[in-house]
Amino acid sequence: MRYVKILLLNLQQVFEQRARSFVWFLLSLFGPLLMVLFWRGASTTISFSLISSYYFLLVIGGSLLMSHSEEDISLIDIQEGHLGNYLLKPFMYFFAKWTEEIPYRLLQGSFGILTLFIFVLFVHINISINFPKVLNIFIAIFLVIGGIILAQIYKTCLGFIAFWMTDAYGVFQLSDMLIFVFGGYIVPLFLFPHTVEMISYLIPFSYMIYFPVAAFVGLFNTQQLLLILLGQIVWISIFSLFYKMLLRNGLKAFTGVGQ
Amino acid sequence: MSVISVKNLVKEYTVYKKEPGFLGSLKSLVARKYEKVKAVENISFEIEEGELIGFIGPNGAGKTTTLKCLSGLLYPTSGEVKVLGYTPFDRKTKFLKSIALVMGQKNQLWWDLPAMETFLLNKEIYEIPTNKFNEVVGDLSKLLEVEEQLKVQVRKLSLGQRMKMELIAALLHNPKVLFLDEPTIGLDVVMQQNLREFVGEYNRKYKATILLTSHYMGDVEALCKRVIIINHGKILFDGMLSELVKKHAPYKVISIVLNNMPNPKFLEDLGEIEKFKYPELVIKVPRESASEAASKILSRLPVEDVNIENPSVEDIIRDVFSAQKAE
Amino acid sequence: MKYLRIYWAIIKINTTLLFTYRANFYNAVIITTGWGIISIVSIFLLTAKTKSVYGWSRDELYLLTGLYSIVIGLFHMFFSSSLERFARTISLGNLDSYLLSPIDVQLFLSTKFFRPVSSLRLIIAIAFTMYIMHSMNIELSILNLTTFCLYILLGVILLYSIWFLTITLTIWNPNLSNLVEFLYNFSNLARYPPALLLYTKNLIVFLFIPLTLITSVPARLITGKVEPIETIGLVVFSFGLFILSRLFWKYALRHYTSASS
Repeated sequence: MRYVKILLLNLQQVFEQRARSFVWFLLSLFGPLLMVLFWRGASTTISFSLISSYYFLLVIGGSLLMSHSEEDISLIDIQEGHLGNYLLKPFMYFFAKWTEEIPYRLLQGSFGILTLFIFVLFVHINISINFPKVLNIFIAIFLVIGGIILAQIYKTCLGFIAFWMTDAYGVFQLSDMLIFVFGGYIVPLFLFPHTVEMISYLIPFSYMIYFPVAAFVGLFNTQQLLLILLGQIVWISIFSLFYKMLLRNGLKAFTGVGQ
Repeated sequence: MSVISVKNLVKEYTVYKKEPGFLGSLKSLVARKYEKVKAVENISFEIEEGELIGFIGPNGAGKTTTLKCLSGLLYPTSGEVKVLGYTPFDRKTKFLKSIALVMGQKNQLWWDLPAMETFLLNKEIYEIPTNKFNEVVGDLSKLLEVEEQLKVQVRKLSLGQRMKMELIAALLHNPKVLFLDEPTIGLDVVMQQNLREFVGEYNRKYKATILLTSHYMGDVEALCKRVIIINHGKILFDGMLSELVKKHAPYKVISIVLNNMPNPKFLEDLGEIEKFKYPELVIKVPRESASEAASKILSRLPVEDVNIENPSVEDIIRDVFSAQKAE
Repeated sequence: MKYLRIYWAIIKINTTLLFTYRANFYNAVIITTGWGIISIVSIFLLTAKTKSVYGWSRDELYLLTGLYSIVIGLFHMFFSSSLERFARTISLGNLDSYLLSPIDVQLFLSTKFFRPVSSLRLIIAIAFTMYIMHSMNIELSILNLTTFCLYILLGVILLYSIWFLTITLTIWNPNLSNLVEFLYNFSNLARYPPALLLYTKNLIVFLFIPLTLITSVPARLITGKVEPIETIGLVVFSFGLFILSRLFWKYALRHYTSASS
């Protein structure tokens, strides 16, 4: 219940900054839209309706799934020492951060869905969501939830780097680059050269955004979907362990400097 | 001709109002309420060359807004402002080269570099000749006792040292008009004292016109002959500090330490009793009958110690503000 | 003369700054080379299974990306760092110290921070462009090279004006300092041919066409497929938008409220 209360308060805060939030959304809208236009003019054998559906769903995926907690955690909580306030309170730091992040995701996600409707209604864009089986829908929804959780844990761990580095901005940017490439922002991963494609399936970034989005486009059969879900669970478990380890050791470093 | 002249200056801000609670937030998504707030409401004053003036008022009174209009940062909603014959908002190069605004909480120093680097950049920006530059930096850093710190990274300086560096950066070009906004905020008592002396010295040495705002009456009392009191964007008083004392404090305060508990009857016609908590007794008496009252006290009461004082400027200002409220 | 001396001081300060913190330096290197490489890699990925896009061959598209990287490298070196802080400066209400300086405020705000590391991106971009030109068997005459440099310069001015105009908006709503992040992304539009926008037949989208001229005009010069309208467009827009950015800035200052205290 208290999480709901905290969530509502955070929602309020986010509404206050709706113009700012809209600019963030434009950011996740712009790239994919540009790609759709690019493919429109391409002479290629790949189906345009598949490609455009992919990028449009990527707009929603990017705004709904991807957490941006890392800067907040590193700059405000760790470097300016606000972490202390959280630690004094009787709830888990991870959830506290998550409740701060969810309102942004909800707002941006709804911007995304709204934009999609506008496009479908006025620009007559065809977006095909493809599910041969009902079971696949359920798995795809689980993939979305898994993607949200994985992104949040990953970004929290990333933010913890600030325990040991005073200026982690370069690392964050590096992470953004990896997400940009392997999250499928440039092209869907199946268009990668074969070896790179295989590698991208082994690292966590594709499980945050690419797989959930591609699942809705209908790129996978039930068996593949289950395999992806398993992959997500594995990565969530790995990062949960990281989270515990980093927080425990980080706190030692944190209190060590007497902040 | 006055150095600064302000006629009917008005500055309005638009402020956004939000209803409280989650529903209020939702409402604000659809329609926001805006309100016009007058930060400065029709004020006028003149300042002559070489004057050092205290600009006094509580938070949000309009002090900083006025200073910003005077230095050309803000565009006045209406009214006329002239500084050294220029209209500040035009920000003519010549005008900017002869003024400086120092704000206690703001900084122009390069955080990760020694203050000297910022000075060198300002040297180019203000086109200060090298020998003049060396002279001024030498003088100011000596006066402010920061010669040793010129080559130290700014982030490693103490708050007081940083403030002093800010001052040097602002004074490099030897401005004729200086606006100081809360220059002593956050400084310890010794630093405050230091800085005050410096400001007074600068005013005398260069015949600079200085307008100073401060929360600390100490700053104003130590430096300024003339004060302008402002509240809710209006000027409540403009004149000599001594006049203010005469006008708003036509009384003196007599503090007494008693030997014995006196007979209450004797206290009656001495004056207004401000505080009585044995053995301390504080009485307010009209200014002109202060000596008479004092002799009465000495003859009637068992006095251990007596002290006749002017009321503190802080009290007077509070009186001025509360008088305004009552209106 | 005065401005040259100021800029020399700025370059010295920024170079000292770069080496003050090691982490800072490494971060800068990672970011510029990283994004520089990604923008080149992405065009390879996008065209891997495509012969042409809007009539532009794969090589020509690579060329656009190379030119884009040159313009953006220059722009990041001289302007974007300052403009980024400009937005933050407004949102913190710290514009005052700039406004009090007796020099051109717009110029000072746009050039106070200089990013030497971006020269890395510039080098990568020039090398890549030369490689592509070589593989297309193109050589430039001296005259064409001079014209080419001029076009690149106009492109930088155009990009600058668009950024400055946009950031000036934050005077009204200082909360929008994240417009800068958007601009970093938005500039990417310049990597694609103008036809991509014309295709939409949408007036609002047409507004963005100037941005695509930044690379298409020099690209057409190199490939010898000059389109006079595009060239004229580049000249008109770069001068026009620059003047507009100055006027708009002067106007916006009247609405600057400073930080209330």
